[in-house]
Amino acid sequence: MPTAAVLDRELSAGAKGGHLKHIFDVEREGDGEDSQRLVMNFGPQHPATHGTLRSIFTLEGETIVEADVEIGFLHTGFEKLAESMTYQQWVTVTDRMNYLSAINNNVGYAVAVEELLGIEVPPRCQALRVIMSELSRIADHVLCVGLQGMDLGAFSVMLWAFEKREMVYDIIEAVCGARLTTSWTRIGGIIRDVPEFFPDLVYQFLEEFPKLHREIHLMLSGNRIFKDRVQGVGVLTREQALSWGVTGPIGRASGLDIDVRRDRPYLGYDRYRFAVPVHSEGDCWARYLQRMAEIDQSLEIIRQAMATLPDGPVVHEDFKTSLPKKDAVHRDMESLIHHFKLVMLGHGIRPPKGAMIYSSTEAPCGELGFFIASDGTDVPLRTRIRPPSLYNYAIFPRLVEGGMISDAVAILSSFHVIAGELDR
Amino acid sequence: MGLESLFGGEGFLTTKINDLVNWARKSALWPMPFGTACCAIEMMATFSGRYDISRFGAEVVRFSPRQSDLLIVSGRISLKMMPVLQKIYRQMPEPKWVISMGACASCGGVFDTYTLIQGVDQFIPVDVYVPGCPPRPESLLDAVFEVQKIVQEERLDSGKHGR
Amino acid sequence: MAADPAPAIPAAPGDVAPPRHPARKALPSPLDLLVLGETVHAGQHAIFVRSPAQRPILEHLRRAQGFDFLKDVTAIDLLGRDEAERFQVIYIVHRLADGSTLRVHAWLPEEADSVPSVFDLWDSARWGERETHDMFGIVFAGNPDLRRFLMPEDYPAFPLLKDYPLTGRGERRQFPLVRPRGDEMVEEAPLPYPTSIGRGMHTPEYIEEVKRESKPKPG
Repeated sequence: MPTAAVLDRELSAGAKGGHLKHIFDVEREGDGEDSQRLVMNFGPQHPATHGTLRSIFTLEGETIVEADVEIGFLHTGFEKLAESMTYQQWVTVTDRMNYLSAINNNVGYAVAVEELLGIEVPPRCQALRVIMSELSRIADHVLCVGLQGMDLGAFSVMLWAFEKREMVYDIIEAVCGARLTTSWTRIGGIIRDVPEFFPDLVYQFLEEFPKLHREIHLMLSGNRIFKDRVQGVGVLTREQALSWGVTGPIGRASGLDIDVRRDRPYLGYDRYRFAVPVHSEGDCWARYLQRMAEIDQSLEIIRQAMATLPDGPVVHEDFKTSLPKKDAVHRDMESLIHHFKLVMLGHGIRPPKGAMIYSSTEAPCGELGFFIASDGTDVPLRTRIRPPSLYNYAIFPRLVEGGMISDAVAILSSFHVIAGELDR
Repeated sequence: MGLESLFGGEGFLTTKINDLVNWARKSALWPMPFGTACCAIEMMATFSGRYDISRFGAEVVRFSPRQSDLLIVSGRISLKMMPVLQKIYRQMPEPKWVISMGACASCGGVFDTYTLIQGVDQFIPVDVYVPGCPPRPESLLDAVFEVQKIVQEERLDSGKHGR
Repeated sequence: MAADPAPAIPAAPGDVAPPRHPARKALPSPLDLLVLGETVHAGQHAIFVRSPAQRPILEHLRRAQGFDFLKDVTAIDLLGRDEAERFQVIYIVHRLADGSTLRVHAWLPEEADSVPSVFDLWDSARWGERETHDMFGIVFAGNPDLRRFLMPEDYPAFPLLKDYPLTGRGERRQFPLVRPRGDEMVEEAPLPYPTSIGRGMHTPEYIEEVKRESKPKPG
């Protein structure tokens, strides 16, 4: 048994930085000899906290009477980095935000800068971006459902979810070259066109994926244990969702009908017919059903986009903003000069001084927004990321108060907060 | 650890027992996944069906430091997270090994910023580094093999893992 | 950067005044007088006010005009750029019913005490303002919870200010090296940085050696 001295040493060593101090030092109401309240630390290293999230619960028995969250354990300074990287260079940083669906971040940022510059990408590039974004969204949602199952004990669902994520990874690797951190988009287009066997990969995926979808439904949707754990738990009303800025599947599961793809279409989303599912109960069960329904809609969008995929260039033809093809750079003087001007520091993409834009896209977690302010040079003045996970997570302490710890786990996994995006 | 104290010198029997103990240790390395960011997702893929890590003995992935011997630091470690990492490292009982997975844990990666630790090996001892951003699951498996090689060549009376 | 003779942010494009956003047209005249200017870029409108005038305007937008969704609260630091003030605090508000969005930019001088909080209008402002405070040091008066957010509680600086260097001022090195020794864990001074990659490279001695070796040998 560790002696008091050893325990003291351990605790004081862990309290460096002061952020653990308020747990052990604070005087809480009812802190007497006969108080039944316990202050419990949940995270940031815990299997049920997805990423580095820390909650501090004040418990009375198993009921949470007070909850507090602490974030910032993955803060990397993306926004500060943007002030010393050019627009094109910062795409690599966007991958690392929502690392489960890196393509959506790349696309969101490219759309924002293209809006700032006032350029439009060719139709083939738009369709390809839509297809890859929806594939990435499916991968994210299926993983969320898998983790939701795992947290509540259904471990097999997570392994199946990972297996189908590997299928999506195969497609992403064939197109982008990397499985996870893709850096696929460029300002004005994408890196290169997709390989010839891309339609085969996608159609094979479209054939095999619905089988897994049905399997997960069979495993969880009729499962008495799962239903008892998630139905009626963590109810978020529509008014709360609107006031707290909750978007994405969580907002739509509470009846807040916002979808940037439908409301402010970008990349030609208005050409595809898809429904935006909305549930009204707002509990963890509704969020689970919401994500499953959205996977179906994403599959539908991919089918339509593949059927109508146009030919043509994948990069905006104005080489003042988009990189020319590499073999043209090696052969032809004009392409070489364009390439040089775009890549050398001090030249490159220079939006007008004083131009500012707030552009949002629909990421799997919600509305991902980029506010970019330019000062006329090739390095932005300010790049602000509006993270969907931040505003989604803000309401979490309110939802868990009054419930039990096991409900807190269920709520947290249904919220699917991604620490990379939350902390940036 | 009690085993090391039994060995006073070299001998046929002691080397055989040394090999046996090392073989037992390397064949059942229980990982402690300290996953923070993108590398954690690749680590989870390594633990999953396609790149199964449990074929190599690392089956028991329980997130308790008291019950593990291999700390896999995967993902970027920020200022706030470093004390947590050190606390988890202290809580692991000997013998223990550390894999620093990915560029961010090994050297700060793409992020040379005010809040990111430029390599966890400044503050905890690391046995194997895995390059990549994120490393493919095969690279992480290769790192586990390297740790297994390190374990196999250890001498029980070297004092590396305590008394 | 050379001094720009053209007017700084906000700059009205061309000679024609930009069309006004319908929400601004619907502002009653005492509030409209507080607006310094409006810009339009790529179809997005932004109105500029001087802090704390954004509070009554935001209140009007929320209560009278039905802008029920606050998308984001953030700030820009304009240190050393010859602008009106040092900071701009930016609110992006949205109305669900017809999808209209408006940005309100509030100029904030460096010596100002605080900015009025809008957490009572939109709950999403609670964390938006907390993060802006954590990154810039701007105090939002009235916000019930303005603790440090992404940075540790005792962090000595506000990172997104322009005079704070990207690599910080050494805060990321303030940890001991924890190593097992014998029966215990000991704490020692950390290993020199950089450790893994680049250790021993590009030291002055190494550079001298490279220069020596790359000179053509005699004979």
